[in-house]
Amino acid sequence: MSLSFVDAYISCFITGLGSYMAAGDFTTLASMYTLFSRVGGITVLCAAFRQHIRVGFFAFLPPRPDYDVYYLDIGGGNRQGC
Amino acid sequence: MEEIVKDVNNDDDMVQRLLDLKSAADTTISTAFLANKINASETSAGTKIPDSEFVYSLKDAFTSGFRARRNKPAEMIAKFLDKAMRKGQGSSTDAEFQALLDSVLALYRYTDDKDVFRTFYHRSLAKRLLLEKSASIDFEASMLKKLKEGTCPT
Repeated sequence: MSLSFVDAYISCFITGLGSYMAAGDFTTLASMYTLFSRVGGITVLCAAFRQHIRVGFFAFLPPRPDYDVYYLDIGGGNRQGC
Repeated sequence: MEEIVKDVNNDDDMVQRLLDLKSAADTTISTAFLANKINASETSAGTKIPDSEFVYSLKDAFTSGFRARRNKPAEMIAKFLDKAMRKGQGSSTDAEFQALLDSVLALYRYTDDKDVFRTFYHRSLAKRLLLEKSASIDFEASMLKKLKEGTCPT
């Protein structure tokens, strides 16, 4: 499966690691790990994994309005339609 | 994790659910989150090992998850072991049964309430031995040895 870093980043925070873990989709998880490691994003992925194990994924998300801002920000301002 | 620990209505299934979660997390780490081995020799170059950051994260998540509810998880782990020791290995092999016991002990290592676990475990052990309800003395001895050596602070 081919994932860009932004796609992987967004997938991680929107869909959550839990859905991939529940589905046993280790290929996608491994792709995400590879992509995150290339840009020094392992800490983020690691935090999402820890939070998923501890309290479930959705508790990790900030309130929706902040999340929207964050989402636009990681796109470098080029994802205004999202 | 916290959802499982705090689920008062399903206390009886708590340990099995935690084992399932731990197993899924372990599988994820050992399958998907693999880092290149540092200082690998030429013969083992390219060898991948589970990323230690994720291993520590898992440990941290379980430790803090157990803190969501005091005493009960440790009590349920002891009771789960009591049931397993009374029931015995059944149709499973020695290695499979030992692996189950080891995985439960792995959960015990994450709890802060080790004294609670010891209280319940020792009480149930005494009952099993006095009433001759234990399925295997060998496994009892093995468990005591592991508790004494590796996981029990006293």
